[in-house]
Amino acid sequence: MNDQHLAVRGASKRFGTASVLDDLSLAVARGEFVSLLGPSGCGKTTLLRCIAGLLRLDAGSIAVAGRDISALPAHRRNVGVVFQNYALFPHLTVAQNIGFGLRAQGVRAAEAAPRIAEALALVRMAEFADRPVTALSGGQQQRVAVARALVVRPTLLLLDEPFSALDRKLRETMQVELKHLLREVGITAIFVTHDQEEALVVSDRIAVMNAGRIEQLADPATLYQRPASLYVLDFVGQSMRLGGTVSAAGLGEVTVETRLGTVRAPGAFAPGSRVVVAVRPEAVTLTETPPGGRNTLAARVSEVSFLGSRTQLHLDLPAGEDRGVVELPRLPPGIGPGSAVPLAFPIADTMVFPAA
Amino acid sequence: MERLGRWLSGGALALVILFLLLPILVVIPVSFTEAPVFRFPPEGFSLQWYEKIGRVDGLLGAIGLSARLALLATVISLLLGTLCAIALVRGVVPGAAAVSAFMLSPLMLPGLVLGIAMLQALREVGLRDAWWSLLLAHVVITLPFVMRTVLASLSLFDFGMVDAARTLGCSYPVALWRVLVPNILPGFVSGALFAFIASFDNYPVSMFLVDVRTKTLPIQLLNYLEISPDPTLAAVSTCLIALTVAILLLCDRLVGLRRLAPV
Ligand SMILES: Nc1ncnc2c1ncn2[C@@H]1O[C@H](COP(=O)(O)OP(=O)(O)O)[C@@H](O)[C@H]1O
Ligand SMILES: [Mg+2]
Repeated sequence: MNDQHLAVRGASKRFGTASVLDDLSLAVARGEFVSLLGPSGCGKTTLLRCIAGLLRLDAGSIAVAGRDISALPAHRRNVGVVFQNYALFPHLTVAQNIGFGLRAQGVRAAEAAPRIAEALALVRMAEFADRPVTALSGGQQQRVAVARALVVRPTLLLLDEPFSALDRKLRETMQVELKHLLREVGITAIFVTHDQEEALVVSDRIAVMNAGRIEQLADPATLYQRPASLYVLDFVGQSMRLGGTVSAAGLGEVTVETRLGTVRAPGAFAPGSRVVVAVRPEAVTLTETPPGGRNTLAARVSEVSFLGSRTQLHLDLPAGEDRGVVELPRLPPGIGPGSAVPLAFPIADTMVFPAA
Repeated sequence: MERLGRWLSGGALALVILFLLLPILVVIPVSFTEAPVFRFPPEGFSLQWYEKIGRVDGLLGAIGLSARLALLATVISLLLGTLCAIALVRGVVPGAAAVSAFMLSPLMLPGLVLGIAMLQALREVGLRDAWWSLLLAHVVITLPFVMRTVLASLSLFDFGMVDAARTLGCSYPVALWRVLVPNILPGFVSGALFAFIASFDNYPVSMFLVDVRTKTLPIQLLNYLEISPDPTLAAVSTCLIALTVAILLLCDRLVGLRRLAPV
């Protein structure tokens, strides 16, 4: 990735004694959409505010297009921000909101007017130009916030949980719409979200954040199939995971004794290590006579959830590090809560992590 | 029963309005009387009492002094009060709730107590000049009026808007000016209005701080009333009523009267 558009290096930020960003690094290519995904309070907003210049880093640097902007104040960075609550100006109309940045940058009215009109058309809000922003719905306010940030042609667009204020149905439409719009504009964008499905929908790559650090930065498929840690495994998608002890190791494969039986997985751990083996729910099939190269386990079903296109089985496992979710395209007859089921899954799809 | 209640409350409202309005309505015609005494209904029509305002010793001077004092105290309070309110609302101050209660306390304190306290404190630090004493005391009087309305407006203000303005190219002070000020303008205007009036007609505090040559209007008026109770006072009152109405109309044009009501 030599076409680095945004480069955050060694970023650290504390509030009092609490370390919120901890030696964090992040590189984003030009035109790329990256999601910052992490639970509430892990420092996502803080990182965005540091990139926008609304907060100063305690240590580290931020460069955009090869230029170090760490020392610039927010108003000289030209980094667009769509705030979580949109922060529209209630004393101005839709068009005035969008024109605000142009006026602040000293663009003359004659030159600003067509750019405002263009931005209004881009977000399909032309007929609302002279409305007060307080009279708009949530989705319309979001469009105005996006247009207001884009009209000044920022080098980078930051969006802080832009869909969290919308109801579910609208959220799904807006996610696709916004992704399409930003692709059209050709801007580099960073989405903040705590919703893993949203991250999968809107981004080219996802940075999973944990307590002020980036745990893994990868494309959605890699993140799902090859999570770098238990944390990422749990945060992105569901899984069946079992704690156990390595009983044998060699030739890039380990054998692990778990509560439900013996599991083999590609990996390298010393015998005796405490580990967690995991498999994604859709890799599991119910069969007593699997083809070769598979692990087989016997488990008991505790709950069945019908999800339309697929059915989830929750396995009866003691509370703790074990978690059991298995997904089937359709439920075989005779299986319900309490049934004993034979599980099979490819050794190649089995993951193994050091126990937390 | 319900009808009776409605009649009673309607009647009470009418009565109160009448008592509030009547003295004011009496003062205006009396100011145009030809008679040398304060009597209603007025006899004839003349402007002699208005002319006399200029001839009464010290009256014009007192009007000027009070106006200058109220204006200056209001401007200082607006600046100081807004900055203090921002500090309190943004949580940079430990114990913000207690501090703001303390800063609003002159509203609840009897003016006499404040006056005596100011007199003692100012003399203690060696300030004997009446004008500066009055100005300091009037800033203390007006500050809570500004603080009260600005704090109320700021607590509803989303400082995220200031951040938004900054990312769009405004420096911090410019962002405050272009986003914060317009959004809390009604708070400013109504705070300033109440502050100005509180200073302009303050009697109990000023009483302790004036000297022979520096007398504010309320004090000068009361002195005059004791010497010669003629309709000049009605003329002055009528002018003040006209001024108040003019200011209210102006504010209505600026921000709308409904948004002026203190929160
Ligand atoms: N201005 C601040 N002062 C003190 N602590 C803060 C401040 N802003 C954020 N924090 C703390 O930093 C942590 C990360 O916050 P934030 O970046 O908003 O998380 P996220 O956006 O991922 O939910 C939280 O624990 C929060 O309480
Ligand atoms: Mg946040």
